Amino acid sequence: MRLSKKPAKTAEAAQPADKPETVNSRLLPEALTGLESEQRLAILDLGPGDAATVSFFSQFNARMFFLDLLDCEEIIDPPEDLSLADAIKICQRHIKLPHDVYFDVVLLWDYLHYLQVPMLEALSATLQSHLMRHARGYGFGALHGDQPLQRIRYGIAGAAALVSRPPEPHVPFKAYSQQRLNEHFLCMRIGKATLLQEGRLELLFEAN
Amino acid sequence: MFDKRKESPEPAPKVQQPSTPPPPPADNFNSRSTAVIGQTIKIKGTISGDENLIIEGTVDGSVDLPKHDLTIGNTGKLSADLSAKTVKIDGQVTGDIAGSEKVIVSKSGHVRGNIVAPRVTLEDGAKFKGSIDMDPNESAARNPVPGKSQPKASTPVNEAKQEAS
Repeated sequence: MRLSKKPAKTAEAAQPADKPETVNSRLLPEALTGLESEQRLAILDLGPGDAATVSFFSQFNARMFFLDLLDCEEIIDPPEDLSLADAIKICQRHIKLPHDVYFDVVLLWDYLHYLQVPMLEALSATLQSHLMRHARGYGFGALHGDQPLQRIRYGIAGAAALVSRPPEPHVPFKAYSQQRLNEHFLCMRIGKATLLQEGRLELLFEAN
Repeated sequence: MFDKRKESPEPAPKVQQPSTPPPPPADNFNSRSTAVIGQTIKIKGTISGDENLIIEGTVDGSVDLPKHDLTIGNTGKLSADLSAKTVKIDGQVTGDIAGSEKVIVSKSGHVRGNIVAPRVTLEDGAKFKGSIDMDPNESAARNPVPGKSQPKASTPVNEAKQEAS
């Protein structure tokens, strides 16, 4: 749920980026529960490839998929009167997953909040047939629906640690409430939420 | 077309130094002859060979160096599938990349495609969209077989729903 159609550079973002910080996570360990190094895993990340995440999963026998949703103009900036059918066509055009890949972990981060409702539902429909029964998702939300949040880019530094990078050149986004996410992102449901700073929530998703 | 250059100049005259141990062997990248495709060169087609290669130009096609190292320099722009022993990407690549030893996407690298290699390093700042598979030999190991029941713990959601109904 974006505040403006196109991400715009801010004065803050024009400054040189600070170094990444490592922050602790309460729910990431649960999202990664049961993963074993000898087990063949499939990981989906809605963001671009991240050095820390790749390094972390290199200890596993993993295949990683990075969708980089914000790079798809048609997905994050579709026509206002977008129908679900059109949204599904757009998703099919841009998200081409091998038919026989089933994800154990889906790193949603905060990308769901950038999508209009039909696109959120279309993404859900696209992922539905690619989730393991035990699949977990990990992402962020806001304590209060429609609360503006700064965009932060995350990666996985360890089983309970994230690498966070300062806001990227995007305007703040309005988060969907947990209820709205559960209503429209039907392939997964929110299992747990913990409160972080500034009304930000850490969310653990489970496959529906 | 290819600008061949030797990384190591001609050896200096030998000087007797009986007490000095011999220098350590040079890194693979430096010790062999390396071909360079310069910045202004554009190639359409298949490149294959038996030596290391640095590409600073534009390639549309494929590059196959199964026993050697391939470097895509900062100015390199490739729309090609790449296969080499090691692949290092400082420039832009759209295509699938296979490294029999390793693939490195450096901080200036920009890749859209699928990487298959036993070791993959994405440096901080690298841009990557696609998939990374570090153990391609087992890619089919857990794929469900139609008609055969899967252990519940590794059952895709759709199959689990069908089983339940």
